Amino acid sequence: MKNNKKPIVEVRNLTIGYDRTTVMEELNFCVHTGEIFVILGGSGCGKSTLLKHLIGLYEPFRGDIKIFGESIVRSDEDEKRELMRQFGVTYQGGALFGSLTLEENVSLPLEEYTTLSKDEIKQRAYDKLALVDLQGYEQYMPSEISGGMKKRAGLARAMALDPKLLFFDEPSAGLDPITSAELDRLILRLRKDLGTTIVIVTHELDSIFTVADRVIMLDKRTKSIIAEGEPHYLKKNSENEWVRDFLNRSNLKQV
Amino acid sequence: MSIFSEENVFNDFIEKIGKAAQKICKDMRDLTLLVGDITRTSWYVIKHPSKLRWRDVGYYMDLCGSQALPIVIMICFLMGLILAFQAAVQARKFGGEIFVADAVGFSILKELGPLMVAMIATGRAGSAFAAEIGTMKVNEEISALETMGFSPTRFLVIPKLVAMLIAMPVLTVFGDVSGLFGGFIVGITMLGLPGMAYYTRTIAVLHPSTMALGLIKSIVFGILIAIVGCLRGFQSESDAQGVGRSTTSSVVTSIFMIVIADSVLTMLYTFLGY
Amino acid sequence: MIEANKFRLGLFVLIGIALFLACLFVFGLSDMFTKKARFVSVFRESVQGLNIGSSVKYKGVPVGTVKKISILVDEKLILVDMDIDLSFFTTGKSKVQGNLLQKFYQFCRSERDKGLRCRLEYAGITGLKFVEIDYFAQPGEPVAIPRPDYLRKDVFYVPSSPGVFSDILKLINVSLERISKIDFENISNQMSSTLGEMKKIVSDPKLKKAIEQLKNMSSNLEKSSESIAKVLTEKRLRQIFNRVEDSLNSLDALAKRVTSQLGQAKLPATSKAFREAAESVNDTKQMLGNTLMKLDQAIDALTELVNYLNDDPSSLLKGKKKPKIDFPEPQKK
Repeated sequence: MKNNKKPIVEVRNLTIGYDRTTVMEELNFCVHTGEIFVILGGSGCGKSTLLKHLIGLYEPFRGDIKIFGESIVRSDEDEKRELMRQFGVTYQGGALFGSLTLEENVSLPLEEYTTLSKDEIKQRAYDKLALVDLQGYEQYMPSEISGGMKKRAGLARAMALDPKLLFFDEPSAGLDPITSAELDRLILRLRKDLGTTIVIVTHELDSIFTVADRVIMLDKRTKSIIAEGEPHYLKKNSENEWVRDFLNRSNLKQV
Repeated sequence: MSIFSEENVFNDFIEKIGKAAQKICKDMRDLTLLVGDITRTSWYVIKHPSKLRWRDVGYYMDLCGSQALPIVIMICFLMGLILAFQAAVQARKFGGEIFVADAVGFSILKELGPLMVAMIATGRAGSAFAAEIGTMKVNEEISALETMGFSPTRFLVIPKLVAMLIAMPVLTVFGDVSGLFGGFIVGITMLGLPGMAYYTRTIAVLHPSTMALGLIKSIVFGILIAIVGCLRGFQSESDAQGVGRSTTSSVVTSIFMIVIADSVLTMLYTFLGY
Repeated sequence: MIEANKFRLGLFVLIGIALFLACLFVFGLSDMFTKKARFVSVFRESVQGLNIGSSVKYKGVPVGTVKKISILVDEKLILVDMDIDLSFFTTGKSKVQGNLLQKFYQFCRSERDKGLRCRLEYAGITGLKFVEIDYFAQPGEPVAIPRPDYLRKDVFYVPSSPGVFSDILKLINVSLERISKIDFENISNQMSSTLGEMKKIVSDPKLKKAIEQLKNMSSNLEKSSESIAKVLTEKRLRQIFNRVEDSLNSLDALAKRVTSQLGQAKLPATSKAFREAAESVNDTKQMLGNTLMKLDQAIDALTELVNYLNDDPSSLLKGKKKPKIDFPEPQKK
């Protein structure tokens, strides 16, 4: 599975940070088409920063990020925008536009980027909301629904243009275990039904073993990737003791 | 040995100046970038008017225009009243009561009408813009817009700017008329001038260009308020206090810029002979 | 989407635009729709205080405004263009037939011959001026500044009449100029030298001597004339004459005899000549008295003049002081 698919995200010698602080140095990894890729790390290790670089919001210090084979670092603004349109991003809090209803939030990319009629757009928005189990909530304002629903609505919006690649920022943060588990199942269903490649940034160990095909683990002290591979394998066989401890702690919790 | 050793105080002082300078430079850079982006996006919107979010324009016009109308009318009316009152005290000494009409007419139309409206709009619209964009930043809505491939300038700034461009002159017209009316009230009551004489004097000394100059000012102020409000919103730090600070900063900066722009415009008008 | 209150917004914009248009109309855009005549005038005096937009009044009615002020370089005159609103002029009839503007210009031309002029007047104490159009000249009076021939045909030329203030100022200026030309220094120098000489003459001992001599002479003359008068009293004369008559009678007799003897003798002529001589002596005495009296008066007058000049030299200029007239003093507040 690892080697027979071409990479959809390719990171080469990436050094990132903000202001003058370097957060990560010389990162190299690939995300392959169709896999669920998890970026794991303790709080404050820079995984969110890494995500923001991956989706083109921040400029890296050095190195290159290629998405669909095109560099998001070296593109000009219009090319970048074109590239961004091809993947979806689900933010921690959903990042729904507060002044728009859920339907309008989902319709927005459709209105901007497609030539569909109003009715078609409406149908499409309803479909996407149904996909994330939010039928009946189409005319609600974001402030009127719960955090989990917001995340799902955000997912529906990210899915509006049927992207091949989806980024998730902390999908289970701030959710109760049951809602979190529901979201995990939703992620798996998306991959299964639509074949979407999914990149997840999280520190929640529970979901990793459920959804992840492959994990990279970031370390704050060394500013580098300290482990890469299938989570269950790493849990038992990682050379790094700290990695094993980190991953095994989840089992302790679960027990 | 005191902890406030001379060296420390001096170094702190120098450091503060350096930081202030750095902040000003950053502000200027951000402002230039934003203005550049607005110009670029405006051109795009002019070519594709359907890409402008007209619903947002309507919303902001309602927010900054029609909802601000009562306060604008009241404040400008009182300004006219106060102005006429003060002018009357002076003009009476020379028996020049009728010149109160001149004083009120020119001051309101050329200066105070646009300025008062701009101050109200800064408090209402400028702070609202900054708070709105700041909150969107906290909620990652700005990031979401960007990663959806949308230009935040087109989505968030241009509608506000267009709304202000339309709402400010309209508000100023209301402000002008109510200010003149305030002067009129003082003229016919306190000074005992015949209403017709005051009216005739007012329309004799005022010219359409007087009003137009004031309206040009109000348009400039509107642009400033919208741009500064949005800029401070985008600069906002991603937390609740940061949004609060950026809101305050947007009001302070707007008022400062408005007063500067007013001086420059007044000098320019004088230079051009108006 | 939180929608705008469209009704409120629409009302706001529509009323705003309506107000704006109303203001523009009221503040002078209405001017564009009124019929106007263009008056032009030329002023020789300064138009300080007159601005573009200053009012133009016809007998106090504000009928228009100043539109342009320019300088005619060659003549050094000020050209003032004025717009006159025709709606102020009415005939009382319902409707004027034909071209209103032409009719108006015709009216103005006839009025110009009747003395219609314009002049600058002060509008209050601020120094601002306005143009007053009125009959400042006599009917048929020629215009001071003729119409410049390069003026457009479709404008009406109103000759200007110097302002009231400029008249007064001119008079004061001329008077001051004349006064400044008087050589006060020279006058005072001459006067003082004249006075000096006069003093010298008056104090000259020769004059005193001469006057004394004259006095002596006159007294001598008086004495001699008195003595003559004494000598020549009537009685004596009569005696003399009687004697002479007697002698003459005797002489007559003698003469008759002599005549008869000598033929011709010239005695009557001799007596007549003698009488004449006596009369002339009497005349001389009277004339001398008169002369002396006049001389005395002349000297008195001279002395008085010299004393007076000494006291008040300026009177040489002013003449004798007039009796003081009491003007009523202005009442102090």
